[in-house]
Amino acid sequence: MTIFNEIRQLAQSTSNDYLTRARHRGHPTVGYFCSYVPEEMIHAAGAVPYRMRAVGSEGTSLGDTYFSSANCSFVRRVLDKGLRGDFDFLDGIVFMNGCDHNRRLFDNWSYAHPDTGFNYMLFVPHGRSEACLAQYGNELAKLGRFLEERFDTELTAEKLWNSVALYNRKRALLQEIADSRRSAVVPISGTEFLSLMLAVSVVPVEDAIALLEQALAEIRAGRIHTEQAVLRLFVTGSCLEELSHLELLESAGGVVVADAICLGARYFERPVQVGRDPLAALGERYLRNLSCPRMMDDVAGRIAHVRERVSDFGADAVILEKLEFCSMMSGESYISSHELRKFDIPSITLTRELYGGGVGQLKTRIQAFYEKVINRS
Amino acid sequence: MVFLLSLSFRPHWNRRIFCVEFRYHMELKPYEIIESVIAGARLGTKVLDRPHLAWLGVKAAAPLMFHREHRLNRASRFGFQKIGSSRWSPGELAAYKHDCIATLAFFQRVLDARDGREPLVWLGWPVPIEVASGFDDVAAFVPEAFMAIANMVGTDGHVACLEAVEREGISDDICAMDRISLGAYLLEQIPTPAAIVSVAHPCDASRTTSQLMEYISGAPAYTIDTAYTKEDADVELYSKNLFEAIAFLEDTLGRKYNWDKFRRMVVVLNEQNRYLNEITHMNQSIPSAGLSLGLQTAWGSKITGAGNPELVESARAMYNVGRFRLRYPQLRRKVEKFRIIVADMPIVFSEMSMWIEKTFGGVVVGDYIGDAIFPEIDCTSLETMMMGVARDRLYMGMVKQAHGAARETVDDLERQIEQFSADCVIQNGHQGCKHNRALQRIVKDVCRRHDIPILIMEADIFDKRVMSEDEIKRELTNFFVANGFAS
Ligand code: SF4
Ligand code: SF4
Repeated sequence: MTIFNEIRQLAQSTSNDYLTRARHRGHPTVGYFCSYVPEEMIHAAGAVPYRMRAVGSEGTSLGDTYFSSANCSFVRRVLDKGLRGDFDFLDGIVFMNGCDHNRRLFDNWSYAHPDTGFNYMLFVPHGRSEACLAQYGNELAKLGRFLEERFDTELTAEKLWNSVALYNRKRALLQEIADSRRSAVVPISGTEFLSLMLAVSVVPVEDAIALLEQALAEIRAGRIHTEQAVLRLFVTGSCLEELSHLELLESAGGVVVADAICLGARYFERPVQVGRDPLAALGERYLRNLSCPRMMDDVAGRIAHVRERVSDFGADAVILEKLEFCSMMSGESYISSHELRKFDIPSITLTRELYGGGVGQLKTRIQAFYEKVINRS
Repeated sequence: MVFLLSLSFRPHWNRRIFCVEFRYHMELKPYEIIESVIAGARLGTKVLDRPHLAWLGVKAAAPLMFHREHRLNRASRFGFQKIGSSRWSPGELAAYKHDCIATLAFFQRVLDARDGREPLVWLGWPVPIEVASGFDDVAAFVPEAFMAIANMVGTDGHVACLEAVEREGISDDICAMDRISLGAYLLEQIPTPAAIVSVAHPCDASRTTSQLMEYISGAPAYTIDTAYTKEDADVELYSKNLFEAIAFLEDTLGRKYNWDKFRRMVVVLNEQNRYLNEITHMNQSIPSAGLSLGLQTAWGSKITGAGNPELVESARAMYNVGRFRLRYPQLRRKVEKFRIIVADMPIVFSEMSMWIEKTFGGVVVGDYIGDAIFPEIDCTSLETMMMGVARDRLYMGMVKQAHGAARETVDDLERQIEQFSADCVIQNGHQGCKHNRALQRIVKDVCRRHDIPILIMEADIFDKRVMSEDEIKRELTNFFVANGFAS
């Protein structure tokens, strides 16, 4: 069994043995949403950060008793899982005001109170200015005090820098694996890369590093996913965690070589810069990292990033992924597609429900788009 | 305005029939909507100068206007509804004259700016207008005003704006209010700005639309970031950002801000707020003063005209109407059979509260916006004034409930149910407000705790195509009948 089999299994399950073992060693598990929650702080408090997901979701019927039909399927599915007890192994959750649906997930979760420990809301500004950075710094300090009290510990600079070093190592490994897809012979598919991301965001960072080192060793040893000349794709958008969806994209004749999604480049690009004050360094990295559409003052930066990566990775087309009812991505996909057109980069916006149906229709759209891209060259 | 009539066959699969549908496609001339607003406001200013005569005129027009929009009343029904659908007293009409004066001045300046007389600044609707109107030689505009004024040419006006956005391929996930303003720009109804100031609240729709507006117009922009609560530290951040926004405009436009004007506007705002707060109290008495539609008007006027002394006059006149009504409660007792809280924004494309009042004797005593609880602004220094303005706008309806945690919405609803002695709650279920739709369980539980019925619809308050006026009326009727408020 290659390491990628184990990774796939981890990616498809809600909990795992690594978490259980960490718990036995005295490390509680703390869920978190979104790429603006510094995992290092949770880790330095002695807990294992766990990126919340809807993997294994069986539906939305329980979630729908709180949310409406006009809310995004990601939050409805995650809440549904929570209410079914799937996350009962958690000792708490750090929520974040990523979008209207997500901030209401905190409210509904707190109201329904499934057995998942504490609920904490981290408020993240919607801009990257100095004033926003100062505000975010205050919020991180508040989160720090909360974690200290909750876990009866002290978030010393030493502990935080130690965590930063581990997470930077994890980021560097992911970056190297991601970069391996620059070459014409692609060693790892987009689906496999997403599995990797799903897996390493739910195990202790030390185990994640070990898994990534093994995966990298396999890649260095000459692993090949595809040698054929297929369409090289760049994927960006809002919440995307379904392996089946990337499989759909890739089975239709494409291979995802780069991305700007939360379970992708937004997670590992740009390390935390080691300096004098760990909270300031974390603030700088997390607030000013590769942004997502919730950040109102960086749309030009996001477009520039897509163009740069499309060119670096030789991507032929851009897939803009959007979940139904995601207003933030609606605006973003309009701007992105217009900008990309100016640079003659083909793009398509795919709207879907998380783990939803309509696969046949999606497949037809994807194939038609691929044909259009192939015919233009 | 040109109407293109199209004939289309629309399959109704559930009824297994094909039905023929006539549709009007409204084609707007550039700036036609603003010109209609100016014409309407000019007429209002003149006619409402004689409120008793105006009252008779409105009563006489009611049979043609009240029940539905049609070919004969298309261009005037929205205005008719704005002045109380023939249910307002001469006193309320006299109050509205001042809103007309303020509206006229505001929109005339926008057209002047189009003609190059001064630069135009767009402000996101929750941004305090004082940021731009404190300049002597800058015109301010709030594109979201189109959510309402697009109906001045008939409700197909807002549809025309929405269709323009749909043709561009922008998804309808975004609140229709924002899409209407985008559409208005695409249809050349709004002059291009020299600068934009937007704000990061209250919702995703505002956040994404600000980015779209900046992109489409290409104007330099400043975004005010605000935090999640109404606590002092958060208000301070907001206020610092307001100072920065003014500095940004000074730099971008090469003009000086008039701080004396700002001070004067804040004093005026305080005065207006005192009246609005009092009127809200009056609506809480039994029977109520019946002024929540007037408060809704004041909400809209404040967005575009805060600091304008005309709005104080309007509020004062409304307050006097309220005092009279409280002195003679028997007059209102005849009207008021039961009391309603609307737990979101009222329907914008057609006014429902007067229809409910006339048809069922139900009085909307409060909603998201017709409810003022503005804190007094401390005028000791520029800093305290700016803090006060920031706080004031955090208490502005819609921002007040939507910008933060659920408790901002839920506590507000609980307070309203108790203070206004509500008999039932209606939630229009506005499609755009994902944050509000996400609270339907909590809101239902609040009503259950208070032992009052709630109707949750699935309307779009700005887009008549989602649920038409007739469909909304049907749902409301069924709810009132089912709960014993009507037979
Ligand atoms: S997909 Fe969009 S709406 Fe859904 S949780 Fe993510 S950001 Fe929010
Ligand atoms: S109506 Fe709702 S969605 Fe629309 S702008 Fe207001 S708060 Fe946002």
